[in-house]
Amino acid sequence: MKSAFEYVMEMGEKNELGKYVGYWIAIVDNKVVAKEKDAREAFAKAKELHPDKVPFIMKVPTETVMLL
Amino acid sequence: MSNNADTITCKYLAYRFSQKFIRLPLIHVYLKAELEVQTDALVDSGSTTTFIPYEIAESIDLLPEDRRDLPESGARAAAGEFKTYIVNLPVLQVIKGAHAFDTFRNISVQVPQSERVPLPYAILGRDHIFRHFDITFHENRKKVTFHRL
Repeated sequence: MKSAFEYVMEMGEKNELGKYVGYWIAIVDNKVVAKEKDAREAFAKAKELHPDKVPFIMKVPTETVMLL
Repeated sequence: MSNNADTITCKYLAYRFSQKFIRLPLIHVYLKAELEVQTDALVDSGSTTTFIPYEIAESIDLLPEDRRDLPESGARAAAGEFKTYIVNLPVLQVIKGAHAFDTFRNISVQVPQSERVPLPYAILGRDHIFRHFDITFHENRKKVTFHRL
């Protein structure tokens, strides 16, 4: 089974990631189980649905340049 | 992602959005504090420090309820300066495929003091990961290579 990040890479290659731009998504078992504006809500929803799994949480960033 | 025992090469995350193609050197990491999460992290040679987004830190209870005694610092970004907490992150793993390629334990990281700091991913700066790996950005090929030292 591919990792959650490999799944995300694949979504990007298939042009399926753009629809989540600006949202935090939670992925469990290679499925997007939450799409929220707040990471804490995405995490909580993923844990509620899959309490024994470690969810993959990411924000799909916009093109905004960020420099630190 | 291609691998051998001491080297991994990661393709940039690429996706199309609003007529543009976005490509970022993001890698897969696992973070553990009181709770655990997997997320993505930007490999950033321009950052002196490792940062964890505020909301991710709160999700895994990396920040204590009482933050009055936490050491503080600050960071300067293009959008301005922001205050940070300095906290101990018990575990950070760089993930290769489905397995940990390397594990960092009890490392010092910084967390913005407010969710208003729009940090969309963890930032892996020069304080930890760059000391464990030779990191080469292949910008034209949209790949980044980590070679364990």
